Amino acid sequence: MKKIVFFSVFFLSILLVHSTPSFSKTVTIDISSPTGKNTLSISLAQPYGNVQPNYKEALEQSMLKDIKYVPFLRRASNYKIMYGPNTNIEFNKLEAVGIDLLFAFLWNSDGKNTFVEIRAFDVLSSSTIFKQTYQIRNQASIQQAADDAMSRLLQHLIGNGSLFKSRIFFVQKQAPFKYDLWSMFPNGSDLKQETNIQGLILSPNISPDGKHIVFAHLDRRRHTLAILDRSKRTIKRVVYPQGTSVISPTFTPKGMIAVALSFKGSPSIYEVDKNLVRRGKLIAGRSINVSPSFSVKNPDSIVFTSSMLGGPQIFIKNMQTGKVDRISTEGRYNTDASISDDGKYIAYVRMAKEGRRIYLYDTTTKRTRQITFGPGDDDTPAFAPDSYFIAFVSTRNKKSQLFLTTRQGTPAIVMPGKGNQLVLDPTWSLIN
Amino acid sequence: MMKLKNIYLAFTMVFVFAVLAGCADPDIVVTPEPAPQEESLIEDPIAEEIVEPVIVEEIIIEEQQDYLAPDAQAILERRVYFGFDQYILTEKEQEILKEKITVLENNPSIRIQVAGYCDDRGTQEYNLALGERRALAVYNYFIQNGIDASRLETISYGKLFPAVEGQDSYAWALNRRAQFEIIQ
Repeated sequence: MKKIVFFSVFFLSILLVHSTPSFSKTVTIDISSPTGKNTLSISLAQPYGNVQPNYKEALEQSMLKDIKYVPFLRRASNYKIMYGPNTNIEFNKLEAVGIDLLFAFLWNSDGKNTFVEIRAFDVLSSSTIFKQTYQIRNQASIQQAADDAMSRLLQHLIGNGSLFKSRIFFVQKQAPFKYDLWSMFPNGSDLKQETNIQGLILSPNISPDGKHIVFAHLDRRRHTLAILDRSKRTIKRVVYPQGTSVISPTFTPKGMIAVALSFKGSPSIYEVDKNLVRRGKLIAGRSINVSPSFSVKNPDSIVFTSSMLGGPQIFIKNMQTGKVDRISTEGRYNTDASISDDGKYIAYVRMAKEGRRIYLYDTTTKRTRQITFGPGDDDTPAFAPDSYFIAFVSTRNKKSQLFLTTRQGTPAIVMPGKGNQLVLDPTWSLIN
Repeated sequence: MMKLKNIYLAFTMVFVFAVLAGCADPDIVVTPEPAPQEESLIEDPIAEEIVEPVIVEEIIIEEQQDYLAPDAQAILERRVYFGFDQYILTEKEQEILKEKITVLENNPSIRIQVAGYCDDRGTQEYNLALGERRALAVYNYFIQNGIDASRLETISYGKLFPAVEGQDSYAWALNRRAQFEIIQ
């Protein structure tokens, strides 16, 4: 018996000693500290297999497009290895030229159908991150394969791969008095016009089940609260007394709507149901109270902008206890807060001399740091469902455009859009 | 010749009256309590239907006589301005409003809309609330000085539709405003 125990311990020790290097040396992205490694170099191998050359090229272009929208990934230019089913990758050579990650593509066709197997490798640990086969039918399926592969890679690197499965909605000016709602994936694919109505759509927000979009609607006489039923293609609007301002409606995690309504110049945040019937006040007072934001993790907390202390500042209220805490402590003008779904971070806009910038408050450390740096103005931060990426609008290129950054404040990347018209109010939905 | 001209004039007036009566907007009923209304969207939002206008008859209508004297209209349309993040009416702005009140008193059929605007240094959602306060500051001044509330409407556009494009104190000052429009 003693011998069995001795040999078991002996073999286990050998196993542990040999396996340790691969655990200690692996590709990681430090998403918690700005001092950690915050850029990974990725290479795409030469595609292998006999299929239509345009498929190969299209997939590579789609992968490169997706890589471009992940601020911490950088394409290793001018270095392309040959990779086939029996290739033994010389990982040390890749590591020597600074490559952290490798994508390889194995194409095949049975005459009728075309398939591609995408493999992702961690160069430092010489290991496979994933391999996945996709059936390719057309250009759209090529983009879907690239998006899925990138999602798997993000899942491995940051623990959440939902970015390329999340749809971003935004408002775009169509004519001087016509702002419509559009949506797309963050890489610009599947761009759709969601509405085509007269007047201005402002502050859209998607219900947790993805079926409804609530927004403020302005015509030349009044504001209304509107809700779009995405399957029926109808809009229901509630008409309040003339002069009422309807500001910043948003769905709560419980499926209700929180909206700032101002009947006499002092917007309070009300809870409204899906039939647009008022159920009660969430934030009241004689000050300006607007821009409610909720996290899925802490549905009983509401983050909002209030002028209760003079100028606008960011606050959080625990709806169970009624306790209100101030979030923004520096600067005289802080607005437009967005809390991450995990409840850990609050991004908001601060007005500074050089323009508006986005700051991030960490609810754990209670520290705030700047995550966008202009030039121009950076506005309306919106956390993606992964609580890591943040969309915002910036005028840094002398026109309003959608940008993507991360809660680390990685260099912002412009998202593709449609035309040069004014863009406003990004918001996300994981359900398409 | 004169008689023919009169007949032609009368015929034109009847025709114009008929056209105007047909186009008149129904009275706007303000619903005190929320009343959800449904409206359909175009099925395919991208494929916007373009309907070519059909010209039945081209009618030249002589410019309608202003029933408000041009100088009175100019007084009503004159804007008032506010300080940064402010909605207080200064004495100078109150003087401008007093002139408008005189015009409104002399023209009891006129209704006006007061629209509140902000400069583009702030953010849109907060500015919608601030713009409303600016419009209401004017509205309340009118009410306090005897103008019936039924003759007034307010709306806030926040920082949308700047009067002046620019990123300097001159442009910002001209954009922090209340603007006036005569409504039916």
